[in-house]
Amino acid sequence: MDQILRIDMRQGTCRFDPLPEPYRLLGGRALTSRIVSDEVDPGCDPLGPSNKLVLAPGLIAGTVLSSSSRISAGAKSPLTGGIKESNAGGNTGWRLAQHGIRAVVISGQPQDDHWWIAVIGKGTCRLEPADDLVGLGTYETAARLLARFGAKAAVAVIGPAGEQLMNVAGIANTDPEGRPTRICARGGLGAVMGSKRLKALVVLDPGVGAMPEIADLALWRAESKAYLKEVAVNKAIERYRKFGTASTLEVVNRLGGLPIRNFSRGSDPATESITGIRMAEEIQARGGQTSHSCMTGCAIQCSNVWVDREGNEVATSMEFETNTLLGANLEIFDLDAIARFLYQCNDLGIDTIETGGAIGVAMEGGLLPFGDVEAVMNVFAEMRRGGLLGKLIGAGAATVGRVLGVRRVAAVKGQVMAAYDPRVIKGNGVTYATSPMGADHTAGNTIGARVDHLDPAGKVELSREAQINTAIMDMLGFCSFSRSAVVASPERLSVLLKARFGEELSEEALRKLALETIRTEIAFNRRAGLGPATDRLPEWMRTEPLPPHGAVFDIPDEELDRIWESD
Amino acid sequence: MGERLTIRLEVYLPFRGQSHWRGTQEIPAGTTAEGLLSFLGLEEPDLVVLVNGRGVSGATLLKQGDEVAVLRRAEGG
Repeated sequence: MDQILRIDMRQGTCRFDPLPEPYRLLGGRALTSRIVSDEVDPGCDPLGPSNKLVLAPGLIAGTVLSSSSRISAGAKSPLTGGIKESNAGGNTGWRLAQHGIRAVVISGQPQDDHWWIAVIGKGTCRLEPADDLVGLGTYETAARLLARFGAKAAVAVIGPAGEQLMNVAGIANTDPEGRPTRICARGGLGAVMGSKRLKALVVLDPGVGAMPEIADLALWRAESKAYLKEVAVNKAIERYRKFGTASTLEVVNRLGGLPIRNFSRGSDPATESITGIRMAEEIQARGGQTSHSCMTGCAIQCSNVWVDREGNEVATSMEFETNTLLGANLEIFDLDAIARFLYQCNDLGIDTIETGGAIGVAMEGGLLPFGDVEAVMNVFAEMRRGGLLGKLIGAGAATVGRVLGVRRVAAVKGQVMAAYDPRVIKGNGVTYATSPMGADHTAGNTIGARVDHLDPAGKVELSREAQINTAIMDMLGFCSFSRSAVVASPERLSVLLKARFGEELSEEALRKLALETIRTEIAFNRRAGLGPATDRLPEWMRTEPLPPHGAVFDIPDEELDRIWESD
Repeated sequence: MGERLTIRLEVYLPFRGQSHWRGTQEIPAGTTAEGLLSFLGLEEPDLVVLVNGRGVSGATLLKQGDEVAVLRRAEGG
């Protein structure tokens, strides 16, 4: 029977409850947001005892079906002040689902200053002291825990940033080789975990062949086989295997919508040195990995491993967002430098997007020079030791802008935008403005659409569809890059869900659930005080033209406000 | 021989022995964005053609002096 694991950090207790019937067909983001909405006071202090951190695998997680075991983390966000869901790969979602755990709800705060880890198995959970892990980076923490509990366990861990309650802190999940590099990064959820003095969750290996209850195993196997066959031959997916996400950089640069020098221009010839093509060539030449599975069973393998000139691993995975926000946005066009930054971010357990955005604002404010690699490395050192500069950057871009008097802060609801300037990629501008998640491209990325991104016409509808489709994938636990294989057969999702739960769930029903999730999140935000005025891009993006197109964001507010009106 | 025009072209995939090719290209007048791919012998599916930094439909006619980029469709993560 599927269960919810409740960990009470005040009492130091763990309890398994049967999954309530209303939650039975909710998973991933749909479940985290529903539980947060049902159980968390929207007016609470995000870092206080009343907030709850919810971890939920997707609905169909727990098997080796490719790319289907993402883990969602949800809570009231200390960064946005609203509801937040952030999902990641790694093996946490897979392992939890194998144990039949549909959600972990972490509440309260310890009554003393001690730190803890939660060790989770089949029907078992215990808290163990973790003061010896305090101050350690995610790599060392994960290595120690995997040595102690077995290399096949999954670990979700926070780094020094989460311990220090920084808004940029995420929750790092281990990949199949035990690297803590798959981060539920956005929205400061690592700080929520830190506020509960929970350093890590360890999800034990349940043994060979463990999987959640499948209502119709024959149907599951047949549909899984068809899906895997599609993943293997699908051309759109093949590109992720060869180039990862990094080749998005050349597309967005050519479109003129790449954040450069703190979102002050949209294209730069210097980006030639950090394109996806260049990156893949360099990885191959040095003997790194251009493809790698971030979770067990993933056949897409969009991840990569960057190595130095001697072939030693530096960091994984070099992504478009990271290469842009920690590279072009800081006028650092050097993949080796970006890889060093990425390692630091992974080890600190922080969001590369928010951190890159915050450093960009700090550079504009004169706190450190654009293009200065060692100055950025010093920021990470300051974050690690809890220095004032580190704490400032750790508070996120919006806070840095307020402190330094910088107006050009590309943020919505206090969260910095991803690597698509919305003055050019206008569909993503709609997503940034209207998603209850704040400026989060993963809530509805429109860059793949065959449209003129500069033309404002039709972008509200485009974003709406992207947001609904994304919410469906996030509910199921599927990686968004698998979508072309998932939808290659229109009935695939319904068949998989029928096989898993023995119940028909049509595409229309899934859309309805996705819309309900988004509306639940918006309602939470309204109760938290985030009114319609926060569903806006910053005013300067409507007035400051972005070179080379001279573009501004020009979709009327009234259109933005109507996005969720229809069913 | 029909009328020809010259465009500035960048190809961000293996082309003419390079992983990233750029230069000027003569094409027949009346070539569309989609037709350009056939003209260049680029058979990889799902390519993106940008004209002067904008996404265009496959039926868009190319003009003298256009800046054309051919890229693989991609989506950041």
